[in-house]
Amino acid sequence: MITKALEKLFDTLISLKMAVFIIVAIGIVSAVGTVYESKYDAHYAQTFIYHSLVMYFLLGLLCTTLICVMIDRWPWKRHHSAFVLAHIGIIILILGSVVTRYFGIDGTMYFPLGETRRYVDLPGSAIGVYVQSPEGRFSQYDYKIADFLKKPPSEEDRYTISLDGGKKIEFLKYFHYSERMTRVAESESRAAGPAIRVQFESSRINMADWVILSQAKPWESINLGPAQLVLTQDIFKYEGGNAIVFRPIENNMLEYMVFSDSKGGLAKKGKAAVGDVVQTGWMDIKVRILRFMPKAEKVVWFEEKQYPNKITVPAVQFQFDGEKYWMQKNSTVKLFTNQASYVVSFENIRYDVGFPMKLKEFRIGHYQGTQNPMSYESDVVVNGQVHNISMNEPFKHNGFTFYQSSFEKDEEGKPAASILSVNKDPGRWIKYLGSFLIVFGAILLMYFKKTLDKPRKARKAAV
Amino acid sequence: MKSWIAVLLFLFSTQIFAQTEAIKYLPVQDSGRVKPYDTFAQEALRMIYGRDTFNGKVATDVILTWMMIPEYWERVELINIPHSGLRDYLKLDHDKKRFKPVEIFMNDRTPLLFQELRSVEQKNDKMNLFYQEAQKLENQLTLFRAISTGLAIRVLPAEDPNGVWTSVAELQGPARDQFNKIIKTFATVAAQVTEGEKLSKTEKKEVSEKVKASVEEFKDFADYPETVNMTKVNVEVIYNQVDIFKWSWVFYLFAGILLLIPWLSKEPKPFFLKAGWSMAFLAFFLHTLGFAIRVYLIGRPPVSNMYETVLWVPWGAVFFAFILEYVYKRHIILIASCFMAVLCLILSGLSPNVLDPSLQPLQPVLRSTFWLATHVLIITISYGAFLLSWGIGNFVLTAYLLDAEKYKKQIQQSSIAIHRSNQIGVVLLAAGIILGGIWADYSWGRFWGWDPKETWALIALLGYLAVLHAKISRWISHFGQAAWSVVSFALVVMAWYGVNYVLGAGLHSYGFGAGGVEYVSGVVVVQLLFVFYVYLVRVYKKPNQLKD
Repeated sequence: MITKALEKLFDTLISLKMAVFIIVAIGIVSAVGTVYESKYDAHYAQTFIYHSLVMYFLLGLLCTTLICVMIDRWPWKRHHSAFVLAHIGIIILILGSVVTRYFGIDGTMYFPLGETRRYVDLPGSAIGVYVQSPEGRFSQYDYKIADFLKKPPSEEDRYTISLDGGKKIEFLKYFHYSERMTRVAESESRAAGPAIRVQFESSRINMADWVILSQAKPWESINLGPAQLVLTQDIFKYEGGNAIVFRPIENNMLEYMVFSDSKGGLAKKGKAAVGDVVQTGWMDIKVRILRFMPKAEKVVWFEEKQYPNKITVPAVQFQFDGEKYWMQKNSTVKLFTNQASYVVSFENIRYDVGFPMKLKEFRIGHYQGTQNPMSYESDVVVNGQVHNISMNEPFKHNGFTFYQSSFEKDEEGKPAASILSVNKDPGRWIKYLGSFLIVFGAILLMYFKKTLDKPRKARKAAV
Repeated sequence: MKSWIAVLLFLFSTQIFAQTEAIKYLPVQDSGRVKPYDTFAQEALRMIYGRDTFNGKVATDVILTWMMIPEYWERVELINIPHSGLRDYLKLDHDKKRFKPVEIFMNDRTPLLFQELRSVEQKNDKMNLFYQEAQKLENQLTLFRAISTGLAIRVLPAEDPNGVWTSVAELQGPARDQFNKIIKTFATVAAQVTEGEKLSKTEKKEVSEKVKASVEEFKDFADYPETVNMTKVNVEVIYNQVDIFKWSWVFYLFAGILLLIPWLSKEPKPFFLKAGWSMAFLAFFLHTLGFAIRVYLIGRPPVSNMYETVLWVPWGAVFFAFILEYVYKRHIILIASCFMAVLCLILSGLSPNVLDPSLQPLQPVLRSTFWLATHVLIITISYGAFLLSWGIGNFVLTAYLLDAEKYKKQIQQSSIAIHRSNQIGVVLLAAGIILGGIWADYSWGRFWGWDPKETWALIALLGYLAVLHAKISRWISHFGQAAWSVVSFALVVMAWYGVNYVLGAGLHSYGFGAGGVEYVSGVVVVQLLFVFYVYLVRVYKKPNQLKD
């Protein structure tokens, strides 16, 4: 009975219909993956499609089928060589990919000019907790790889890290794509200062913004369109240009001073409250006071987005000691207990390459007469020796390969940082061997005209 | 002053103007390379005006007058805005396509549009068609400004071979005087033409000699560095003028028709066959020559943009057709390849905005030419083999539709051709994907990264593998083989075109027609419906023919 069932299974596995089914299924799953990649991003598509259980099952099934078919054709004849080589090649290639997946490293290293680094950033997130010693030095307290993309924490299912003395950090939310939002709100905090929201209005412009003054500063100013908008507690030093200065006085009233560039100094002075309009005399611009708060601070939170864009970041929310905090990827929050102070960080997974590396220099070559880069290269220092890394010319050390991947410019357009991709791939030669066998087998396939036998049973029946 | 009026009048005259030919050969520096002024002018006019000529005037003359009388050109309907949504946003006439530069410059909504564009650019990697078109409009306006002020035309080489050349506007001292000579000669020539003087042959020659002399004088003065290859510049002007790929498809068409006649007739006359073969060879020679010139001019294999692959893939199809035809002597192979080549080559010339024919320098990562060459050439040429099987497949489907009994011989003959084309395609595509993996591994340490382009190439490979496996197991018949080969070509279209234009531009622009998406998907849908229709006809009309 069991042997019969097994035989039946074997027959199903070696049928060409099965092969066509698997081929088509892998194709469809991959196609779905490219749509995911286009809507989300590469990491998302890999996590949920290319490295999904369905894909692993299909690839496993493919290997099983290939092995069964080769067993069925045993003993192999000369004309089998093409088919055997190509199929063994596919199995070896998949095997090599598994080795790469589980034993390989594939990440990026970000180098500001002149700095030394030894950690590679890998995709995925980790939570690090560092504790401050009485002398002020930080040491690692806890480091956990947190697969928040696949298993996000929630109010009910919290991700918890315990600190000494019974306090806990409890993660409540994870947004893979979110935008940082800010809002000005009334505050009781000691650091809070006044805040004002003002609108500039004319026939040509219409803009509004907040200025928030913290207790620590004498005044705060922002540039709003053609003028400077200033909020002060007592003094302000005029340094030219158009400016309007507000100073809070009693009863939610504000004193204002208008400075004009054309007059070269103070042009107007007076008192105003929320809703009032000040004629500035800079062309036809009117200034309207929209809001005023005597004690306010900026509140930051994150809003989840379904799809990524250039400004979305991953963010987590956690609770500690009854208070809730937001943290975006690669940032830290300081926490205090009665015994010690901690720093919590939400960061990329880091991998220590085992040696420090310094970016000495970074150069960009341009196509003639343009700002379009033609080439870029980094000079790095390892063990006191300088090595050059350029596009298509990687640098190898201790089993790692460093590739020039990208760069960042500062505000003046000068190169400020080099981005290298770092790779360690023990499966490389296995994959190359598999590839070679596939191509070699496929070419041989053209040579042998009789490429297909019927399965053993059918052959026997024919005899 | 009088000469400017002459220039103005010249613009209204309809006489074809060959006397300024020499100006075309003036080397200028633009978008990262040195090119003849001819190429620069054509690209600029195409970008701003959307056509190769203006009222029958060649681009080189037109662009020169932009610089001479910009006030006039600001009031000419010149800026091409094909996107109706953008026209509506700017509150322009909905039914017109071209607008005066001044209309756009002075438009209240223009600064608003570009402000919005900036904020969208900051936030999104992929923009929808509206903002892509807004970006294009911004480039059009910038280029128009830069040309009319003389800043865009860089004519005087820098001492550093990689340095920025001096533009016409920045020329000083003797250099400016030299260049003004060209302008003045041009203006006098324009005056002669517009005043209606009937020039005799010798006079015409004299005039063009004059222009030539002024250009040559400037060239001598400019003292180009060794990196500027004058032969290349001259060859490029000729390449611009002779539309070599057009001639190529004309000959392919003749070849296809000549070969089709004996294939359909019962007693073929050898004349048609011979004539067809020679025609096909001639077309293939021109096709190859066109490529050779492009390679020579830009110094790299011509497979780095869509336009170049649309030329290269049919080249592959014809190449494989010659080989298969030689081995199997089934004329359908060559016939199909000729018609495929006609199709692709016509397509390549249809829309320069989608398929950009300009010669562009490469991005940094693509500069390791050897690996780029090997893997892209092999992958795209495998598409050539699939294109061939698609063409033959469609012939077979048509034969089934017309009369499967009558064309039985042709259908059977075609089967092996389709099978071999698919095999060639699969081997090359597999090899190309793997070489691509090796290139990626070598360049940035990733053998396989699930990049959409490589993933779709793999999906196409899987599709044809399924067809091959189904055929050798006799799961599908001749009909199934032809039908599935045709259907699988949709995967190639996706890998080749769709990834760049559908996925690449973001799913949001789908259906808005960024780069002809609506036409391509339309063709794919019609093709699939055709296959389905033939299938239905076979099933319901002639059930007795099912077992072939």
